[in-house]
Amino acid sequence: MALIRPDTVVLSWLLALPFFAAICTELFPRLTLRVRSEQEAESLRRGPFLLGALASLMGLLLAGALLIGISPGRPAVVDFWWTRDFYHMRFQADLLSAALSAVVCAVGVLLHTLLAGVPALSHPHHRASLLLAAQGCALGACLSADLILLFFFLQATLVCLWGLVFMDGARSANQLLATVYLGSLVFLMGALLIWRRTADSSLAALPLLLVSAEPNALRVMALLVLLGILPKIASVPGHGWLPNLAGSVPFQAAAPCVLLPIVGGAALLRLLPASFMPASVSALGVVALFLGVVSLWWGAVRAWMAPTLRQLAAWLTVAQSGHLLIAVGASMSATAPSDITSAAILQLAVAPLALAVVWVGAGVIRVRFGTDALADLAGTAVTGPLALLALLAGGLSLAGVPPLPGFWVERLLVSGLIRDGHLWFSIVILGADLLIALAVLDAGRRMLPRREPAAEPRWGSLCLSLSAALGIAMLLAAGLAGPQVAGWAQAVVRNVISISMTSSPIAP
Amino acid sequence: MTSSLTIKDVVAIALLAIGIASLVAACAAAAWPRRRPVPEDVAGTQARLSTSFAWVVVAGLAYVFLGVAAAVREPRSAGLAAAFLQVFGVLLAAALGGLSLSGGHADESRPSRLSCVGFFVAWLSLIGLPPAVGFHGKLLVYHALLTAGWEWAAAIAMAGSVAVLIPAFLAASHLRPSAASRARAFCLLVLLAAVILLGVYPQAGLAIAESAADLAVGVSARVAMIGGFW
Repeated sequence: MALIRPDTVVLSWLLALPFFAAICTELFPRLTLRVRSEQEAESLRRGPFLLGALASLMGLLLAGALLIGISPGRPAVVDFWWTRDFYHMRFQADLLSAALSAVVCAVGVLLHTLLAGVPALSHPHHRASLLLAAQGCALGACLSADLILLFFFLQATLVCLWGLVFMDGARSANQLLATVYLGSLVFLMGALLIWRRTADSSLAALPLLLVSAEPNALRVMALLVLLGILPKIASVPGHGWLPNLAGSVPFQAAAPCVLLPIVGGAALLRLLPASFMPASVSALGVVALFLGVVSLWWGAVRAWMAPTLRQLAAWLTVAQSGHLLIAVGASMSATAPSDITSAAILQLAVAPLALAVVWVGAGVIRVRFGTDALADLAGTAVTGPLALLALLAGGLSLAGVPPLPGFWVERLLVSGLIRDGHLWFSIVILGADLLIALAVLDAGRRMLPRREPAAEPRWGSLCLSLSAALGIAMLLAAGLAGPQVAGWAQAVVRNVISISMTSSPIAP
Repeated sequence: MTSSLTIKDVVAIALLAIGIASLVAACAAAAWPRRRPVPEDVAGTQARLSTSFAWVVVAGLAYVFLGVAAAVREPRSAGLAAAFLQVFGVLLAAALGGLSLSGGHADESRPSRLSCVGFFVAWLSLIGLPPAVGFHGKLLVYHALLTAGWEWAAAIAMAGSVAVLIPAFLAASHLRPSAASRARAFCLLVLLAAVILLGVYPQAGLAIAESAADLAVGVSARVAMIGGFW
C-alpha cells in the first residue's frame, strides 16, 4: 500500500483550491486599496501565481511520495464511499498515474512561475485559480480508475481551461470548447458502450470485455474512444482549436496546449493499452498509425514554416501527438515488442514537460522583447540567453536529440519498430524529427546577434528567468537519468499488464 | 416469423418521438431565435438571452422524455431515475439562470458577479458539463438509452448537447449581469450551492431520484392493475 493514497492527493488539491482561491480573489479588498504606486501594484500581481507555484510544488512532492510508495503490480485503489451505490468513483495509483500526476504538477510549477513574471496581466487571481483548478482536474483524470470519473475530470479540466482562455478572447476559447467537447461526446459514446457491455464502469472490468465482446463491437468501442481523444491530444483532424489559440495571448495558450494532451493521453493509455487490446482490433492500430504519421508530419512542416514562436510551439504540440499516436498504434500489433508501449508511456510523461519548456521560452521572449515574430528576434539571444536555451532544450527534446529525454522515447520507439519489421516507419519518424530539429534550430539561429542592433528588452524579472531555468533543469535531469527513466517506462508496462492480468477473469 | 408490437413498445416509441422532436425543435429555436422587433440595446439583448435560455431549458426537459422512454422499453435501464435526476437538474438550473437574468435593468444597475457566476453555472448544468448536477442527469439518460438498445437516439441526444453550445456562447459573449438585492443574492447562493454540490456529490440527488422512480413505478403498476391494460 502506498504511503500516500491517491485520494489524499486529489483531496489535498480540492482542499487547497478554495484556500488559494480565497487568498487570490478579492476577499481582502483593503489590501488593494493600500497600494500606493504602480510598482507596488505590479509586485502584488505576482502573488497569486507564486502561491500557485507553491501549491504545484506541494502537489509535486505528494505525487513523488505516491510514486515512491507504490510497489509494482500492487496499485493503491481507493473507492469513494459516497458514490458506491451508484457508479464507482474509484481512484487508482499505479506507476503510470503517479508519474503523470508528478508531470502535471511540474508543468504547473513552470506555468505559474512564468505567469508571475508577466507584467500588467489582468485578473491575476482569477487566472491563478483557474489554472490551479485545471491542474487539480487533470490530477483527478490521471488518478481515476473509472470510466465515468475519468470523463468527469476530462470535462472539468476542459471547463477550467475554457474559462482561462476566455479571459483573453471569446472566439478562440469557444472554438476550444466546441471542438474538444464534440470529441468528448464521441469518447463518451465509446465509454458508455464499454460500460453497457461490462456492466461496471470500473477500468478493472476492461479485461472482461475481451472475453465477452465480439471483435466488431470491440473495434467500434476502441475507434470511438480513439476518435474522441484526438481533439484533446491536438492530433489531426482534431487540432483545429490549436492554431487560433496560439494566435491569442501566448500565456493562456500554454496551459491548454500542455494540460489537455496529458489528460487525453492518460485516457488513451488507460483504455487502449496493448495488454487490453487483442489482435482483433489491430486494424485500429493502422488507423492510429496513419493519424499519427499525418499529425507528426503536418506538425513538423507547419512548425518549420511558423512565422512566430507561438505558432512554432503550437505546431510542435501537434507533432508530439503524432509520436504518441504512432507509439499507441504500433503497440496494438500482435507482434509488437514491449519497447513500443514503453515509448508511448514515456512520450506521455516527457513530451508535455518539453512542450511546457518551449512555451516558457516563447513566453519569456514575448514578455521581454514585446514580440515573438521570428523575423524580429535578431540579437535577443544575447540579452535573453535562458529563453533561447529553454526553446532549444524543449524543441530538441521533442525532436529526440540526445542527451534530452525525448531521445529515450525515440530510441525505444524506433528500435521497437525496427524489431517489429517496420523499418519504413522508423525512417518516416526520423525524417519528421529531423524537420522539427531544423525548425527549432532555425528559430534559435534567428535569435543570434547580427549586424543590426539587438532588440532592447522591455521588462525582465526573476520569475521569468526562474521559470526558464527550472524548465531547462528539469529536462536535463530527465535526460541524464535516461536509462533509469526508460527502465521506469518498462516497469510501468509490466505494472499495467500485471494489473490487467490480476483483474482479468481469464487470468491463471 | 412475426414481430408483435405491444402497447408498451408503442408507448416507448411515442415517448421517444416526443422527446426527440422537442429536443430538435428547442435546440433549433435556441440556436437560431426568430428575428423579433426587439430594440438593439442592452434590454433587447437581455430579452433575446432570456428567450434563448428558456428554449434551452425546454431542450433539457426533452431529455426527461428520452429517459422515461428508455425506462418503458427496458426497466433495467434505470431510465426513470435518470429522468427524475434530469428534472431536478433542469429545474435547479432554470431557477438559477432565471434569477440571474431577471432583476433590474442592467444599464441602470451595478453588475453583480454573483449573477454572472450563477448564469455561467446554470449554462454548465444545462449543457451537461461538470461539476454541475446536469452532468449526471444527461449521462444517465445516455446510459439508459444505450441500455434500451437505442444507440441512434443516444447519438441524437448527444448532438443536442453540442447544439446547445451555440446559444451558450452567445450568452457568454453578451451577458450583462444585473444587480442582485440581498434576498436575491441569498437565493442565488443557495441554488448555486445546490447545483454544484449535487454535481460533486450525486448520491444525494440520485437517492431522491431513485425514490421518486420507485414511487412512480408503484403508482403506475397500481393504475395498470386497475385499468387492466398494461
